[in-house]
Amino acid sequence: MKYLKKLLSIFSSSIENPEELSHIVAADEQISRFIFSSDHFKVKGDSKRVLYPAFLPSEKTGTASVYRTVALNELEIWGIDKKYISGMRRDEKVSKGRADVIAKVILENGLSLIPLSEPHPRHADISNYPGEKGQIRLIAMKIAEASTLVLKPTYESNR
Amino acid sequence: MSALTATYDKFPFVLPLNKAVGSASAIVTKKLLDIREKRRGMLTFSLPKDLCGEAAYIQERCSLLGWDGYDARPITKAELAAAIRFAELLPDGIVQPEIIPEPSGQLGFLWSIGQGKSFSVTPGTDGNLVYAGILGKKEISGQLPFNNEIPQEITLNLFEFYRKS
Repeated sequence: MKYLKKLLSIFSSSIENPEELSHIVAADEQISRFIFSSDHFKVKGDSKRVLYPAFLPSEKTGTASVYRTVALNELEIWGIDKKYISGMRRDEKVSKGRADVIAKVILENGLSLIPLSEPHPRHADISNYPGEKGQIRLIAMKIAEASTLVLKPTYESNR
Repeated sequence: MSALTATYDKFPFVLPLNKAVGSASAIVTKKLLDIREKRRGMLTFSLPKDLCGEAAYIQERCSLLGWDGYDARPITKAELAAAIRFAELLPDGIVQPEIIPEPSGQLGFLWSIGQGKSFSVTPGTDGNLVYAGILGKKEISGQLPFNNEIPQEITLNLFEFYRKS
């Protein structure tokens, strides 16, 4: 038990103090978009895919919230979700999975990745979506196609 | 008669093109749509019925603000009606799309066959539809008016890439 607590504290420290992260998102960084709606991904047998609405921006903010998950293991990534994403919600909604994509795909489509410090130092926004709705959708489709769906272990075991 | 197109191919379909006006055009349009409805029954072609049921189920699930865990707008009954209308106008002989709720509060139709070929269309209550497609090397996107027919730009792509085999 002591060992586990120590291990968890090491993980927490590396998650919450990501000293290695630059103020500019690098093209080779892994970016994760947490997905709460099972309508935004498809799982059929061994085939898993992310659907474009997962990368459509919020109409309220014009951005899509993501996390910089470079150099984190699965336990650490889901730890961020538990504490800062699903864990901060008041409606008890929990994420069902996430779409992992390399930052380059987002940047190459003319979008920006803006690091944010709240609620977590690894939080960032995809911004600078174009004004034309069809263009936004096309970009979201391209990012979704380049993404890898990772189901949350608890969601996968309950399916 | 120039108002309408009736095509018979490997997979027959009827595609009304409401470009003309006048009572004769209206009569022929109605007759063509009747033929189409009858044929659907004969072929036990259940695409619109399945899609409408699916759309209604999704609308119910996504009727609250923030249903996507972010800031998604609620999907209203009016948006459901726009989606059903679109589903009913879809030409025969194309593969069945998936219905996908979108953060804008609309219901999108997605056709997807493997990697590198996806086409999505979202009809809205504002009288427009938004579309985008990655069709091999071809990428398309835009917004078109949606009234009593599905624009040709959409149907032609559906027949080119998503024809039932």
